[in-house]
Amino acid sequence: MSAIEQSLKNVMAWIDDRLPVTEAYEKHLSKYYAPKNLNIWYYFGIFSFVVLANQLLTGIWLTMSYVPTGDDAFASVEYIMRDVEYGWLLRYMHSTGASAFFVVVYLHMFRGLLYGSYQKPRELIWILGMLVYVALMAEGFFGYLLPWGNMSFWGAQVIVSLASAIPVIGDDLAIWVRGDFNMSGVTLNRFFALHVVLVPLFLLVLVVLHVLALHESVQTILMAWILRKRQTTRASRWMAFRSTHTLPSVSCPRLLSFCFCSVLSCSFIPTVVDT
Amino acid sequence: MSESSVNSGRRNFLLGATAVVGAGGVAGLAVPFLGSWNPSAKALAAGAPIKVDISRLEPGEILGPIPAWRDKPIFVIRRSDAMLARLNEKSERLADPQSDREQQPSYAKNETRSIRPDVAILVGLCTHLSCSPKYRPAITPQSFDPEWVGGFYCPCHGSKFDLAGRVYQGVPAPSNLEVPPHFYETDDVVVIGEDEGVA
Repeated sequence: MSAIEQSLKNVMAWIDDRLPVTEAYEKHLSKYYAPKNLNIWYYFGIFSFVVLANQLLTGIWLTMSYVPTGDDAFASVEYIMRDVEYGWLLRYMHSTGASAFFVVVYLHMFRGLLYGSYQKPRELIWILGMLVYVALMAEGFFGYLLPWGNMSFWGAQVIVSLASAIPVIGDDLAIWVRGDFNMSGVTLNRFFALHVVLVPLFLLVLVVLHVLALHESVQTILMAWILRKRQTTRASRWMAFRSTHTLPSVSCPRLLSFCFCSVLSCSFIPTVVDT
Repeated sequence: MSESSVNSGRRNFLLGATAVVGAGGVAGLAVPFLGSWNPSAKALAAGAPIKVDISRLEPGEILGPIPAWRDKPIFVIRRSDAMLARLNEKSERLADPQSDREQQPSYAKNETRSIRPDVAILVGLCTHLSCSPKYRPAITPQSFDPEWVGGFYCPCHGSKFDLAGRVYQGVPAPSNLEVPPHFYETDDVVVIGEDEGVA
């Protein structure tokens, strides 16, 4: 037992000499101190992580059955809804999850306004957050086109035509964005690529920067405050506190989301006619 | 309170309880993700059992490859009395004359490898590299076998099977042709792809 422990320690020491895994783990998780009196407004950051994970997972699973071509996109969504096992659930988790993402992020932003979380030295957190928000809107817009129904068509038509309001270059710009003179399979295909690859990559990078910036300033401020007040008891370690206190509350929006999904599905399930 | 007064028993209990509940949540969440990899309703419908009407199949004739079952060609042969009479004449040339290898449902593990002696139902894929063997019913010497008594000959690598789909010795194919699950709905209609009493 102790021999195994010792060799594990040696392996970790070898890795830590070359890549600060333990240091990063301690800085961001096991020894990341958070005030014990964080109220519910402070939960929406971790909630947005949950929704992000939900969007990534369900999104990847949807691409397994979705066909991003003008001819087959709509039919492949019907196929997901009717033929793929749990396909309806995965799709509703993704579309409802997108709405949940915005709800959660708006509450998160409201908290920032309420408590002045954007003030020095946290200006960058706010700015990065705004960029996340822009990426999120782009992601939502591109995704909205993918079902390739009437709502998708007109939604994309209206938003893309905003570009044509720009003087002089507007019309050509709209044509360039669409890659065609009207919304077409070409537009669908490029929006799909942006939705599943480019924008998510941006989003993930921005989220990482957002969190790194947060941990930098929280650590500074909180540790200074702790040292000054010598109130170590008011702070607790992430693993012990955050997991047991916020994880149960994470399940609440999940539950709501599942309820929402079931309600939606009831309105969908087609009348099956036995022949 | 100070750091030394941390109730580690309670803390460990909370951590443990959270881990257990979390694991339950992950397990539940995994259901739709794993389930969606199963064959879809569309794939299941495409792979459903097929019905074949054999009423117009004359002795010695083959229906095949008829509409495939799960993308595999199916041979349906009505063997004549003369064919059946010679079926076990040279069983010493066969690699597995008693069909001991599980290449057929239990109800087809018999001398003719079929439910009805006259009708053979086989998956028309050579057990070597899945070419489709040719039906050579004539009981006459062939270029590939001077003592041919009728059967299947694979043009790819020369594997030979008799009229019950049993493989000859000394050919590349390692085992008999597969018999798919099947049953007779009526004398004339055979359901291929399903054992009797399943549906």
